Amino acid sequence: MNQMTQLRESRARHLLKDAEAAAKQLRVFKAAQPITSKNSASSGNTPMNGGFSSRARRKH
Amino acid sequence: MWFLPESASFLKVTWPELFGLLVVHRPDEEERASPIAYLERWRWHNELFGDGVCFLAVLEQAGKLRMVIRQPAIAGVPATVGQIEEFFTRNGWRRFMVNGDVAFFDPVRRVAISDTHRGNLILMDDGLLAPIDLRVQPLSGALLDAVVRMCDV
Repeated sequence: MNQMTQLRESRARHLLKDAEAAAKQLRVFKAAQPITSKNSASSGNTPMNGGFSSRARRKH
Repeated sequence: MWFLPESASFLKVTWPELFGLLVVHRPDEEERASPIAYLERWRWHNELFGDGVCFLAVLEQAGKLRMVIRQPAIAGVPATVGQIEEFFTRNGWRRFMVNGDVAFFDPVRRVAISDTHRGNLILMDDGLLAPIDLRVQPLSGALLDAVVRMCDV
């Protein structure tokens, strides 16, 4: 089984479905990012304006 | 970024007219990725790393473009630097440095990736790593030659 197939199957088993858990995980990953990320120009995995929504609502 | 519980995914929107950065670029070229390069990056993300990113829309805001994608949300914790390096090199990626940053090159597909920091790789509980927001860039011509040389150093 190649890497892509393994990863695809593993990702499917590890879907994050709970909004509170998603918010908590985002905070953890944001803290793990380099302080000067050169990729900050795009939204990436950084919440926009610190915003986070479980229902696709804009917070600003 | 917004979480969509019904599809267990994140909705991501680029900043206006900003579509991420390239892994490598020629001195006379922009470091910023084009909208097409942004889309290509996600297609490669799906192909290389089993991701399921979908392009949803282009928004126009005050005359500036923003792109919208949806990406499956994966549960896990940040991988360690050692796990990240081991993951890529074990899977055939060759490490190189560009502008002081770690990057990797796949000599078979002729693709380079970077931004492989801990905030971009999820360690799932089965030990596999799920990349979530890497820069991905197919290479050809002089850029390909330059990266091959950097890998040999």
